[in-house]
Amino acid sequence: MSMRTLPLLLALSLGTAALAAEPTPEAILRAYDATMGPPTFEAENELTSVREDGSSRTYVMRFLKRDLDKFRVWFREPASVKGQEILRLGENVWVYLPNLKRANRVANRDAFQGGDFNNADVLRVNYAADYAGTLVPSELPDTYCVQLKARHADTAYDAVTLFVRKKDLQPVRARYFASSGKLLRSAEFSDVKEFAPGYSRPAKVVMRNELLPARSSTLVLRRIDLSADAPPQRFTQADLGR
Amino acid sequence: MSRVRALALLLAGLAFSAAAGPKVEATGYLDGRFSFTRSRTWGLLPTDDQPQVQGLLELNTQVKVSVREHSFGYSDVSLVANRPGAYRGWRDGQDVALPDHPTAAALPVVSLNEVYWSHEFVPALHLLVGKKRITWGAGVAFNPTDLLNPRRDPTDPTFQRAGAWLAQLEVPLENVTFSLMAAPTVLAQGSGIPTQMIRWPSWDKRDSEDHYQLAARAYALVAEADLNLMVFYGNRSVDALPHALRVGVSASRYFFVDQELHVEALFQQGSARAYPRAGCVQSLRQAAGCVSAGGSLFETRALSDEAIVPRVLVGTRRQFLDDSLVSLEYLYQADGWTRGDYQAYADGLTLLKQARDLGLPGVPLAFAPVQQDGLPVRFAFEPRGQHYLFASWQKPRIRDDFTLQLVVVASLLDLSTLVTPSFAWSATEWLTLTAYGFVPLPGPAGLAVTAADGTKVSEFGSAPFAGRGMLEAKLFF
Repeated sequence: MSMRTLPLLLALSLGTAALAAEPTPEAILRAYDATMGPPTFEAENELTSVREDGSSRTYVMRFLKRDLDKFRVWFREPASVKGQEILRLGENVWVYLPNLKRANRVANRDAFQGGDFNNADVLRVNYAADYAGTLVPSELPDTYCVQLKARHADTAYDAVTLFVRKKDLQPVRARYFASSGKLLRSAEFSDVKEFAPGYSRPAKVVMRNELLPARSSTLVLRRIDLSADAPPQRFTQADLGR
Repeated sequence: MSRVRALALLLAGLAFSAAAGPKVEATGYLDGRFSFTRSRTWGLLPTDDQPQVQGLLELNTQVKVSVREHSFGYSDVSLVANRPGAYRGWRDGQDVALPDHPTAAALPVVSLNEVYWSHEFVPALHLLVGKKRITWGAGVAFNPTDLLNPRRDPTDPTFQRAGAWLAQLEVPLENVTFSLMAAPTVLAQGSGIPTQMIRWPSWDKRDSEDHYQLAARAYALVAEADLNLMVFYGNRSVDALPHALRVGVSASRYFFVDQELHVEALFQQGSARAYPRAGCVQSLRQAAGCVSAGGSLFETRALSDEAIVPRVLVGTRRQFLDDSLVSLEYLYQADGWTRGDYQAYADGLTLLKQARDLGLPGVPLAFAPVQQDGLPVRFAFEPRGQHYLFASWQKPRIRDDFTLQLVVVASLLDLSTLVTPSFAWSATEWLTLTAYGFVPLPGPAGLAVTAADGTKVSEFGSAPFAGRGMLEAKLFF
């Protein structure tokens, strides 16, 4: 063994040991954020809300994200909401209503287009900053389980239990709780696809309303572009309605 | 549906026929309204031209034609057909039916709500030219700093879509935006299309002034709050004030997660508000004397005042976990009518009634706001007094598709109110059915002013209708 190969072997062995060890909760949350909310992207999503009577409503939206805290949504369908837009900038959320011809501020906890997702579920994928995580034994095979506690009041939920696959840290399931410990919602992540070279994520998220079990919302990612042009001006109130 | 969409695309083609190969997006709605109004024929305001039954059909198309990603033309046009009837009036002490007759309510309306070209040179420089509804202030039911646009209906702010002719240059930066706006005053128009702007022509020279409004706005997002500083300069544009400099401010922020607070204020020197002349409305003889002497029954007594006149709106909105929303807004206008002005108003209304009873031609007491542009509103509101309260409660998603709403507009001078309950059903993704009620309530008699004939007169209690119900079907395409 030459002196040149020794450091390489040492590094490899240390790396293998690191891979074999359980990741930290922080690393899991960072992986979740990178998967579900890459730094910049443009995407088209379809949201289908199933109501208590079994009927459903489907919305088609275009998303644009920049950095951790800049998010735009344009509603494309159905006709009754076409032209509506949402802007998130930092802790602020505005909704542009084409009939009103202006934007109104709304709270982070509002339901996203009347479905079972909150605004923050969709517009605020920043678990590493918003929650403190603790790794706990998982009830699902081949998964890690992280229990999250909100770091501040602007999060959608006070506590979250997140399950991710051991092999690639892709999210599998999540449960969302109120401060009382009451289960509010649960999510199933499925259909993991490679949308871009080296970038895979679940294409489908089903959010169930645990307070009204007959209700659920399904968010399907149709396409995503990680190299989209997203200048900061797209994330200003002045740009809403244009 | 396909016919409506075809018509929308046809309108798009007409509006932007010059554009070859652009991307065209069209949307809109067909809105049918049927209303029944009980005319208050026994009141002081005339009801002869107010239909008790009215059917209204509005076809709205919104067309966006993009020639490239951030350069587009946009039009928002409504065609409105009316079918009014069942007029009633007061004759010889009796509530009587009147024959159907041509009135403004019966005329079809073409409302050019917006038509503009928007071009982004670079992300931080943007130009807009045309007719556009731009509102900078944070108020919901009312905006003191909104000088240019046709007034909203405070019982449903989405009901007025029309804007103003203007050119705007905007510099949006990450947390700051600067806007410069120039708006020529439309002196004469038809269906929202101006026929005379800025200066009266030599063959109809009503004055020799230039009428315009200029505005500059700086917006900043500071400490999670929307802050606006606005400066307006105009000459006999939005009112009769000459060379008027006005300053506006606005702020909006969420506190305690769900509690929104906002304030919006406009400051100007003097006021062009018209006040009834108490010395001209005590008798028909006195009124005739004022008019024959070349005067008016109104005076703009504060036109050249040097005092700063504030108009301030303070409001809060709270969204609850069940999605219900409560909004409260208080409006103060330093130049609003006082109790003495309302007394003169009541005296004027009494004269008007006396003149009608005597068969005299209409006394020029146009107290009701005159709408020059925009869509016909359900409730025309021009705040004349000093203190108003706008309150609304909305509960959406009742059994998913139903929304219950209650809006109250109150004059705090006499506590008279207009109460507007509504119940909406989103029957499908493209059809919404809504039932509305409009009930003016007079408030305590002790707070009302007393007309010469002993009638108690309050702001909303003297409305020309006792109540109104409306059914609306709105079909989106």
